[in-house]
Amino acid sequence: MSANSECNELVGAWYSPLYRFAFSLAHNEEDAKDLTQTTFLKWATKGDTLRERHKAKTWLFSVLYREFLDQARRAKKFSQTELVEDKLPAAHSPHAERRIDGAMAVAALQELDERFRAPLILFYLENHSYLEIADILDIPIGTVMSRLRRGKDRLRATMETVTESRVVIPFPHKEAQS
Amino acid sequence: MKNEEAKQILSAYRPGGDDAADPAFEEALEQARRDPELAAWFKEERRRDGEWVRFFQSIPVPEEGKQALLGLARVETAPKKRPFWLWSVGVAAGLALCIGVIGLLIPYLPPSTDLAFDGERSVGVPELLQLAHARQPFDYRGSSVPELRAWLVGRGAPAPEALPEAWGALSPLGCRVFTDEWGHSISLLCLEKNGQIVHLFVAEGRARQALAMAEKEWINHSGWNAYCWSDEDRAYVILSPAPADELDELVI
Repeated sequence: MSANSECNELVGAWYSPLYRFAFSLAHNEEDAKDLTQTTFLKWATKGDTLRERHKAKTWLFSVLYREFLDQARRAKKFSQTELVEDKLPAAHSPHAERRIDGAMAVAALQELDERFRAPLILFYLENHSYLEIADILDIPIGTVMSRLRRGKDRLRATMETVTESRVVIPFPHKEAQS
Repeated sequence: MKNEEAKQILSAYRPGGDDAADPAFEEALEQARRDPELAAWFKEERRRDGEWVRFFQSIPVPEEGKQALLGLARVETAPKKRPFWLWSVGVAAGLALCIGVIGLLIPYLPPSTDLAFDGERSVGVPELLQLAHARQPFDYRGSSVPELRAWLVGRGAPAPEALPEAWGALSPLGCRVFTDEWGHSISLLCLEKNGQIVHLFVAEGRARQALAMAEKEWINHSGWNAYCWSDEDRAYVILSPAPADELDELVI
């Protein structure tokens, strides 16, 4: 398979999951687009160094996560959890069949410590196994399990405390895409 | 195993049940079958997990970002590890051919305005790339080569007369027609082969002179392969980033 067609195939298969991962981390459509694009551009320039081609998915998620951490460090965004208007998925979107309130969910995710947030997002996104999460985040398997458990508990507790006083922002007006 | 330990392990059990055969979960799952309290906790856990999965799946994804990357990959991902001397020879040969046929280059305009070619002059690979990458909508979108051909014939534009059977396996995207100030036209058919773009330029009459370049040999320019052939009435040029050996079945 040529580099071009492989790259196209990866974009086709993983753009949406990677974008959702980026959006869940960054809570910002523009940052999510940038992170996703940067990830694929890194693949285009460094992907050929990956010997185990079947690990491309893990490689992509891992690169995106590290890029997010780097950007967050540079921007000193850690611990800043303010909700920014027009950037969040939201409350009562008619487009999504879900029972979790979108804005509340995002607000709760933002409240989570980064250590718990990333494993949880990966767990719920694209059916990542604990082994894949360990690979992507470069942490031990036991730590993944521990963080998933504690992360879920904290997420539920936070969901209960996130009140209507929080800013509720509507979804971008686009249909959810697979 | 205590229930708290089992809960920690089962917290990593994927909602879709993909871990059912993973030995790491075996003991905890068995305990959940035997212990009603743990079973109830696990059932509720999976219900909540399912809600979060649906939530993440509902995050809208801007399609334009994906399309931009797909376009970028087509244009910018050049074959890797090609020896520099080979690249240089390819570019030099392409340029020499372009200049050598008639010597003047096509006066093309920026992509945001109407593109034109001058049928009195030659068009080389760089100019064809410029035409192919013009950010213009297709004049016509079709689902088969015969359909594109019929549309071109219908508007009096150059249309392929006979192509190898392999063209039938490609996915057509659409076509455009470029016309110079004297009414000479070049048609461009765009198709996909295994995820890579394949452009076919067709010229006839006086305009076929514009496509005159070295025939029946592959030219590589900036990662794009070009091949030209002609018959009595028409000149054809294929332009694609796909490897030449994968394109051989498309040429005559």
